[in-house]
Amino acid sequence: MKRTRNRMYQVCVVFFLLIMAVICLAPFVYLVVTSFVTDMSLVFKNGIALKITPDMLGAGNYSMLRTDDNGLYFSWFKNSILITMLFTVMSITLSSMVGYGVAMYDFKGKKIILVMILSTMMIPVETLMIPLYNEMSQFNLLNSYLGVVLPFAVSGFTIYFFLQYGQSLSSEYMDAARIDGCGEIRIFLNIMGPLMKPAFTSMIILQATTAWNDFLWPLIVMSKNVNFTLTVGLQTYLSPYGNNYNLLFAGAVVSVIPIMILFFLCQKLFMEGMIMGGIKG
Amino acid sequence: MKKKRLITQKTAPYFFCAPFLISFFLFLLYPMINMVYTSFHKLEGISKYRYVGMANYERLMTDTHIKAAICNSLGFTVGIIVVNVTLALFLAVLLNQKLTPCRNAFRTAIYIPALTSIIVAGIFFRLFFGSNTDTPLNTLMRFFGAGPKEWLYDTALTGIVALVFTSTWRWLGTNILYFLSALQTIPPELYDAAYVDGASAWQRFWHVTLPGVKPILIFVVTILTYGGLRMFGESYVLWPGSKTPGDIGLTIVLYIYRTAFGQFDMGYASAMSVALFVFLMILNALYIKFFRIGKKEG
Repeated sequence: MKRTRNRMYQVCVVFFLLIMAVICLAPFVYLVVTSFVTDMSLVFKNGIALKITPDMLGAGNYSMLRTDDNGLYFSWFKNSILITMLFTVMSITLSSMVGYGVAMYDFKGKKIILVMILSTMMIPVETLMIPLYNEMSQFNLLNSYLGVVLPFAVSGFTIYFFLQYGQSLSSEYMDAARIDGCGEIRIFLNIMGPLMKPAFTSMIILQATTAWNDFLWPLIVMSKNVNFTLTVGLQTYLSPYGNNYNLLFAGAVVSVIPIMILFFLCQKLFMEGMIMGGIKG
Repeated sequence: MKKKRLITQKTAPYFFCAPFLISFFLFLLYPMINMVYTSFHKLEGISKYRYVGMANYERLMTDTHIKAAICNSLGFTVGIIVVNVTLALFLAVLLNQKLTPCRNAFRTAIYIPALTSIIVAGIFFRLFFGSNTDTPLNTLMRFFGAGPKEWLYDTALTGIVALVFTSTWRWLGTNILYFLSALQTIPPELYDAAYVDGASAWQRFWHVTLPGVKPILIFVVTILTYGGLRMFGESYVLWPGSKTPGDIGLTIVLYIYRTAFGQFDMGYASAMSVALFVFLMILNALYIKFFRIGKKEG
């Protein structure tokens, strides 16, 4: 009796989850297939209703992507890779330092800093885009990687994640290391840092995805088309007049690949890190 | 002789916190003061600001575009909260059940859209909500006996539906992960006890699961509120370029962006940012009071 009920439950649930999975994955399949359609005016005219047949397909869009405008797409790709790496390294290093410092030490002003961290989590950066643009222009950082990365490298959310993780660690290791004559920075780098590895994995994926997909801020900082990131560059193909669909679809597909590779490499650690060590309210 | 260290147990915490403090003053406090200053001025020429008093704020009251933008942003925020919380919580409960087969595969599949950029999502959903009569959505409409719709240019409401759908596709996976992490904290003994007492599945959800995930539920509602009110990319990509009839799909941040970087009316755009900022801070205070964030409950 109970077993048949469980079977019923399983069939219903799998059916429902399959529908959800199809909704989540179908757009990718559609984009990949459509990116091989050589006559894009058909897609432009018919949109998603277009019935795609095998004789419409070819790799033409991808070779066009490679040669268009002296390989402009590749400079976007390079920009995105470098900005993502720079942002991830800076933000992980600095935020883990702060989170660790607040979690592991008792010091004067700790309460105030904690309140400041929590309050930055509630301030939407979008409201500050105008003064930050002016500031970057004063620092001569417009159209530079640092201009994209610097203002958001230390984020309250990332600090808070490391802070919560740090609180679950025992400070006895630190005392033992101190007795052995280990300096505070070495304690962080060699002893406590490695203990926070799951937190690092989750945050690396999360921060790399954020930087790779960031749109508004690079759009504001980067104004010359060789300096665009992938999101900003692809968006210029979306104009309602021109017919850049060939480049748009192929470019979009290629832009998804690096982050997918990163995700599938660390997928197991990431899911566990997020679910087990994640925010606990 | 022992070497004297610069960074000791006393000074180390300040060293570790330095990046945050520098960033706080340089990229938060200073820009905020700068923004309030700019909001009382008007940009003339390239970099000359003229004091205009409250003029920018008075303009806010009569601007019809901002009214449409506020309606769209609020409607979108309510929609995204309702859809994301119910759907994400429901899916998280299913994906947490030991009985559910292939849990990890489904978790991954549903999370994958969260890895894409709004541009990639926008390309697809612009075509998905296209006006052609044979799109899946319009075919469905015909099935229910309604005519095909030009979803993106029909009414403000269909615009909001398109926005909610597009964002949910990308945001759902992350919210499911938050709920899954909260579900881990509920001790299984509670379910066993409820089961022994003869509680139905619904009663178990209502009396065990829901109280267990309450802190994360509040967290998710909070981030969805801010995410909704500051939404920009979805709207930018679904209606690229120009103005839409009746400001369909125009959101607050998109309007600020266009005013600042399209028309270079920095003073007025700053005034709007200040207003949005104040509104969000009031909302913060209400949330903290109403949800009692930060106070541990038993």
